[in-house]
Amino acid sequence: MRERAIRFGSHGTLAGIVCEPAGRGATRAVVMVNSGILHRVGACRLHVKLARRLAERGVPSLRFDHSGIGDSEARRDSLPFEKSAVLEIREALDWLATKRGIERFTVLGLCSGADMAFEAAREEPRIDGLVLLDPWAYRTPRYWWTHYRARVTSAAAWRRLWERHAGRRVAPPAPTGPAAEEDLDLPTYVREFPPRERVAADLAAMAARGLRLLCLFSGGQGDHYNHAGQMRESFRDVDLGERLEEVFLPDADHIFTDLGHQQTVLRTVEGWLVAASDPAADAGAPQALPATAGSSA
Amino acid sequence: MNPFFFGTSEERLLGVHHPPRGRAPRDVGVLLCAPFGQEYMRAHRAFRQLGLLLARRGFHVLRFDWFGTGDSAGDAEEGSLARWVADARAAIEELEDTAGVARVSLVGLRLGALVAALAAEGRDDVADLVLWDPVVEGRLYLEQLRKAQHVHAGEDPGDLTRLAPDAVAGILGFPITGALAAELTAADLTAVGLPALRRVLSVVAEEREEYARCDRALAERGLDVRSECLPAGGSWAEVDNFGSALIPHQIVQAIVAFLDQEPGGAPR
Repeated sequence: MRERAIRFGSHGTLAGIVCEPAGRGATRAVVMVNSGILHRVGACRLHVKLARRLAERGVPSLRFDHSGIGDSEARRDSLPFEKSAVLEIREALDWLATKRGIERFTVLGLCSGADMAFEAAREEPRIDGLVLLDPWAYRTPRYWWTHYRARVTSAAAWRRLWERHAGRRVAPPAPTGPAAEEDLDLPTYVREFPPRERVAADLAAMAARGLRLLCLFSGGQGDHYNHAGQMRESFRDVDLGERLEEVFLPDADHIFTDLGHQQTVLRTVEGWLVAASDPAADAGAPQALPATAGSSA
Repeated sequence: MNPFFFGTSEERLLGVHHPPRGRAPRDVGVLLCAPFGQEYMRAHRAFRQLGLLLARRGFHVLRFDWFGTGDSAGDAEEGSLARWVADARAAIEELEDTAGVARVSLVGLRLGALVAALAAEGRDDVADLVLWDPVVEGRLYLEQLRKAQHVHAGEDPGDLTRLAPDAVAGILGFPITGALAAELTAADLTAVGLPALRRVLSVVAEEREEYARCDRALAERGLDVRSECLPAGGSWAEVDNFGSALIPHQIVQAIVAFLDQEPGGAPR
């Protein structure tokens, strides 16, 4: 395994770490993108640990910082983050294609990173795999059932309801601290889920060209996702078949702070990626190593 | 802002060098020593800012990841206080060689402050020392981490000072091994045999007895200690779902101003 710090992009201002197996000859690589403003090491160092495990299994990767994040310089143009992030993911693919002769890619991201990975895959045919951690989610009838079932049996929920009606509820404190202290040259991104119909159309197009997805949901996005298989159910009108592997870790938080959950995520993603990188996998769908939580394929 | 690897081939450390920009280079470099765990994640942005601002004042600046952290080699479970002190010393030498400076000032945040002080022991090439919200007593630090983890996860991880040597506790997403906890339990910044430093800046976001004790102890040894308390919102030992950065601008500016006024800091 070998790691190298690189500079790339049209102005050489993007910083990344390429992590590679000892031998050359890989035909597929994984590109890992920022989650929010967390730098390229990933939440709780997830990207570093995953990159090294992948390299041991023969899969190269590039983890990098978008402009203005981590160790990459801010852009000089006024391109919105949604556009510049996609452009920069393509520049990462270009670097791997030019320097390593790799032509097929999986892009991995958490939260806003998942959003940008998805947006890049819409435009970039070289991306034929996505690993999305807490991506956009769309509520289903079962979501609402799960949501309200938990509440009708909760004493706290009844108390809140009573307080609201009695006018006794104390307003939550106004946000203070970190948000007001953000650096001015940070890219701005407000996470808004696109209309489900748009995402359904994109998924249909991606599936038609053979793209495969591993979507892993934590319990930290409970406002949008709360039961195993919700993604498949919410896109019932798209023939995803075995192209979608969906995993739910209900006890995990959004950035996987529990060490046990980190191991589950690493094992699941590594298994899926290694299978996807096997030339024989082109004949069939990759399978994640068994996760300890609910999984729906 | 140039990321690169340095150190031995088995234990490569990720460094980011900020060369001087727009000013003649100073004859003293600045090494930034990061905190550990979730505090490291939250401080990365502030360190980038500090590095850029100091580079604009003519300093060669190096920030880096400890062994087992960030992009540096190793697993987090392999990290130890002794190893990180050796990392800091390797980074001082790397900065001296790369920048062609004979002396280096050390800026340490939280655990990085304690490690920086330990790394300065017995050296004659350390100019100034900046202790930023320093971990003064390892024992207290472990207690603070325990409380933070309790708040975050709703479960008390127990007394970390009593962690079995082969046990690992998950604290805010990062492992603390029994061996590291034992090293930390014994560590006390006021007991470090600091050399005759030129100046010390103790800059903190809130008043604490441990900070006052540290300032007194260093002053009693004849060190020129300047103390500043610049209140800032937020806490280093905190997790939120969005991985927010904490950038106490006033403190960053105070550190830049302090180093900028360094007596021997005239352009070469």
